[in-house]
Amino acid sequence: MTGPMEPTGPRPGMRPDAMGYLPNGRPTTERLVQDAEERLERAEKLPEALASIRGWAVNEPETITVTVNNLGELVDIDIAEIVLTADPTAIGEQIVRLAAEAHRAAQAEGLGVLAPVVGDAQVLELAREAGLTERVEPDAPVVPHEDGILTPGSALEPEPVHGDTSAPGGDWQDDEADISQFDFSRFRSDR
Amino acid sequence: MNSAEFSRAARYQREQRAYEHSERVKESVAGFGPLTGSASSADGTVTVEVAAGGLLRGVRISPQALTRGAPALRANILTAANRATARANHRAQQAFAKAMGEPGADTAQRLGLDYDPALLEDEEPPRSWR
Repeated sequence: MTGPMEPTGPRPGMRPDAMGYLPNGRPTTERLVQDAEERLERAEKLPEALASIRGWAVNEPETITVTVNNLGELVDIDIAEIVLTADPTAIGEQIVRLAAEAHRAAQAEGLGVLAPVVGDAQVLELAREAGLTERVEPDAPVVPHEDGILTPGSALEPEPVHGDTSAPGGDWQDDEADISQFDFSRFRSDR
Repeated sequence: MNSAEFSRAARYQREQRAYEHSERVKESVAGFGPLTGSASSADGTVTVEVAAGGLLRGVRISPQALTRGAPALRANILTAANRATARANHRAQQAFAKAMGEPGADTAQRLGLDYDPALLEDEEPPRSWR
């Protein structure tokens, strides 16, 4: 997953101790504590960061633009006057389709926010569950999450899709982690 | 069993408990029925159905809605979607409360399934299940 994070390993030509790493490549205790604190800080800000995510989608003639948040809730919709000449049923169907597209964009953006906190492996699993595997770069390294160690590997597409996000930022508890990954849109009365 | 093995086993047990807990909650919430909400605009020309969280599932626009201009159509869709989302999230909070007990509604809120009670003022009391 991408993210504006510093590299974890010592770079060639740099003193390992200056980077927070021992000569054998292992992180120092100070480095581990620092990484853990940074990860905790990101986790605390997670709900706020997720809530600020926006995804949008526009139709081909660019006459309807739909903007949603990370849960898919309609935030805004722009409709050109020319649309009013179309069939109302078709307009409604197009709005629903655009909302779904916008939601997928927002979900992909959300994965980018989650990655620095939960790790690439978990995010990749979420991406598969959400059907967002097309966002995954097949050759990118997958860095597993390890408690207390920041692992800024990159396995998802680097550029954000649509929408804007703010800095990562929640008070997640162990038992609620899985619930938080719940896709509420799966609850459909026709299933 | 050395300390590393003990640590791994303890972690596995924690993860297993968390997984089982989340599965129980999922089953219970799913058993609550479809977590959806629907609402119409004040003039009745636009009706929207959403899933919990607010994702649009259906938008029904009457021919009359197209005669009042794009800004009016936009406002009607947003108003209906907003109210439909409130209903769906209210229902989601009920489902989580049923699945998890007292903390359920708060958990739903923390997951973003919140709503403005004022939107449901003329309906049943929003927190009547408590």
